[in-house]
Amino acid sequence: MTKTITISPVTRIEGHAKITIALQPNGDVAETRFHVNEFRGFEKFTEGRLMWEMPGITSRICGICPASHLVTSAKAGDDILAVEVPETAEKLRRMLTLAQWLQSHALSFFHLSSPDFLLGFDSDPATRNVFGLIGHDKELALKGIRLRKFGQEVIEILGGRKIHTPWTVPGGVRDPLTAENRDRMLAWIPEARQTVGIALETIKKVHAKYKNEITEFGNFRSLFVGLVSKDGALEYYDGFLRIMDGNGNTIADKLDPKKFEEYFGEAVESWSWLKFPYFKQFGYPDGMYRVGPLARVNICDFIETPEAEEERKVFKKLSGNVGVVNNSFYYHYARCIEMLFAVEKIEQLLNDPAILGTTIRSQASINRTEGVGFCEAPRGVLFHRYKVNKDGVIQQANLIIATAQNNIAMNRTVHQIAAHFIDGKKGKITEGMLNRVEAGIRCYDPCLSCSTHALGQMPLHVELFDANGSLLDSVTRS
Amino acid sequence: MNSSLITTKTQRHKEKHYEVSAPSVTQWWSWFKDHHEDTKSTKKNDMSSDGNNFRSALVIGYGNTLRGDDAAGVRVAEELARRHPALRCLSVHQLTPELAHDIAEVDRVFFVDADAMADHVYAESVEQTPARSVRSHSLSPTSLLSLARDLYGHAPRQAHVIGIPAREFDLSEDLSPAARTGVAEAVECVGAMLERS
Repeated sequence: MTKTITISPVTRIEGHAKITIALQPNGDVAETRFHVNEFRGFEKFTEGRLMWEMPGITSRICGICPASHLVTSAKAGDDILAVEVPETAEKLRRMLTLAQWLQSHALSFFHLSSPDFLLGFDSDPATRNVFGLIGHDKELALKGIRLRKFGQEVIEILGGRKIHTPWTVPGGVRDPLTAENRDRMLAWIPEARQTVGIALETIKKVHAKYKNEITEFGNFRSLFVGLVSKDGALEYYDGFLRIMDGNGNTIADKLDPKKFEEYFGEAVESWSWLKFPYFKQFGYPDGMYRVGPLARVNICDFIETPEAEEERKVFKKLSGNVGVVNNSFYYHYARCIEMLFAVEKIEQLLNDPAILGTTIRSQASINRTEGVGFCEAPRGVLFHRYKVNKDGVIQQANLIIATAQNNIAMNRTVHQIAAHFIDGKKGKITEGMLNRVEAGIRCYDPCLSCSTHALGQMPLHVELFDANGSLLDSVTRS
Repeated sequence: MNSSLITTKTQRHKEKHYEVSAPSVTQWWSWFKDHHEDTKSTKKNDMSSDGNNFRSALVIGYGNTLRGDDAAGVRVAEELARRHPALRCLSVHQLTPELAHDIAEVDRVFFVDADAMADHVYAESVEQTPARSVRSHSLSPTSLLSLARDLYGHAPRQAHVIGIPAREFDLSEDLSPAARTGVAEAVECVGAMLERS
């Protein structure tokens, strides 16, 4: 019989999840599981709605990355209309996508993960959070909030305060950008650049300090999947799918993202509501792949902005002779590189005269009964597929979210960390031990959102059972 | 506002413990009508909306608008924004750190949220004690007040949670009857609290 440690829910990620770790009688880890306890069911909910409503509906799925759903849904609508989006509209959508990266990555790096790095995994859990960070380095916490606010402001300027109002629509966008608003955004750039520079300095110091964690936080070979442009650059809005293996070999390239269901399957496990996408050619679970910042920076040939490209070259050296960086701890570094890219690219887009164009929407009626949209959300590539009738009423929808695509890898990460850091023989739950397991998950910054948050519904309960199923230890965090 | 009608979290829990009901909206509404019979007039509201009480306050309604009653807080913020142009109202999916900046700029803040445990609308003072817990991408009202104070050196003089009874959280854009009634009452409640303070 095995012992079971349960960590429920995982703190500092979005949504409801728990981790169970089953131990062998000798205390070694037998099996680990990252459970997601909530059923989403949005696809069914959208059936019968008009295709035109989908950006507004799907952007309300998530409070963390609404703009990514907004853009992806609108792109599925473009496909159904069979239109080409005007140049200005595409550039504005690109800027919105990057602002979403910036806003989301800033929250992940500065406020959720940096307390672990800067205060230490074994530091007092009561202060190992953003408030402890303020005590440690108030200026850093403040700059992190300001950077996130910049991303938020770009989103609000483009979409209005109510981001859930569909500014991005099938065929383009609803309103053009004014020169005044362009200048408001440009005024943020110097500060944003400086803050991202501080983030990069910070994470590099962390690498030297936590060699043990770096070795054990999801250090395994897997596939990496993401978008690249036609010339191989880091892509976030369009382009092709590239699949790279854990040795740095490109095993598939220039795949049409609209055919994603041909390449990837979704396995189901009885113990989790979150599906387990895998690369069909390799089967389940061998077709495990990772998406998001680590995958994107790994698979691209270059980054089109100069400073981010310099950082990418430094990043790639971490891979040694393997050719690809396999350690999930480096998600944080890749996230910082992407923040730098986002700031540089937003500046480029704002300085592009086309950004103020007023031809922003292609008009058409329903020309296809099926459409696919895709983009790189902060956590990885996101797909929406809609089937509609001749009036544009949704008959079927399928949403493949980024967090789900990392599901197999997150489970593998938990297992690796647990096997290394948890001493099952002691029969005690220590904060440092648990936090390492949770921190391993936080590398992926999973967003299981789509959840309600009504007052008083998020307790944290941890239980440790011995080999006979008796409760050895129990921890509740308020 | 009669201060006795605004309970602190501790008081409220104590009342529950001793099975003494917290002031209900019915009680509150009865008291309110006795003292401000004309408050519901549009003219009065419009004039009041230009007052300092409204300009120095912030309402944050939060919740997932695809999750039935979870949208109650958002609906309240939207209605208050419509009624009181001078009042700053934010409708958000959840409480995130950058809101600390907005909060640090006002004297009074209302956090309006759905409450699955409530059986009536309530106004509860948020304890202005240091919060030291951040659980996920989303923060609590107490945490946000602490963040405002720690980062920007100022937290609102008064902070309230307005709780609205919520029963249904399935995927839906509709409110249950209880939440719908609660939203209407909460709108009146916040308006009255601002008029009186």
